[in-house]
Amino acid sequence: MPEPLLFETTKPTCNDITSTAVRDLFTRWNNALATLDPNTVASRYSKEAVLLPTVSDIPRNSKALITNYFVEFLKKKPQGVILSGDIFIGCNWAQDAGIYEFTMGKDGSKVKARYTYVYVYEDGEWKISQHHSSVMPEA
Amino acid sequence: MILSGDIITGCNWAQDAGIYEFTMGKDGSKVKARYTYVYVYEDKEWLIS
Repeated sequence: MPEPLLFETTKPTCNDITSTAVRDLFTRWNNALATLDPNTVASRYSKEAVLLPTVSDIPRNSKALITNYFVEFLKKKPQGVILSGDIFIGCNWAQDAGIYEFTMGKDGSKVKARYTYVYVYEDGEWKISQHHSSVMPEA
Repeated sequence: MILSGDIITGCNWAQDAGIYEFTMGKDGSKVKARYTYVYVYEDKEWLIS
């Protein structure tokens, strides 16, 4: 019979991720944009994710609100490129913050914005826990 | 002052994202803005990451 555990250990297993892999998560999100399917994009976000989007005032703190934002945003056929950013990696989470630029396939217009992504390891997958995007303040 | 926000906590890190408002003591003007804080536990202190 195994010895009973006197103290339950709650220390989580940290899932390692490299900076390159963190940046690849942006590529996955951007590829989701390319599908033009709001649900595919929303599936990149974690269960409790918060999205502070580029062109809407409402904090999107539910899957429904996140999906709803992309219904409108995807009409512009956006594709993003990270211009510069800083990555920080923790235990089962990572952040990437910097500047990206969208090119709208619909009319060719470009929008430069500041971004923050926080990724979490949830149910065996890296998902976006927080995404903040705002147009450059001095533009 | 934080007007509304959503908090998620993890292992040695936490995030808080929402809307806050600043009041400028100099001229009393107010500025509303969207915020995101990520906090990490570093050298036994919670700091903004």
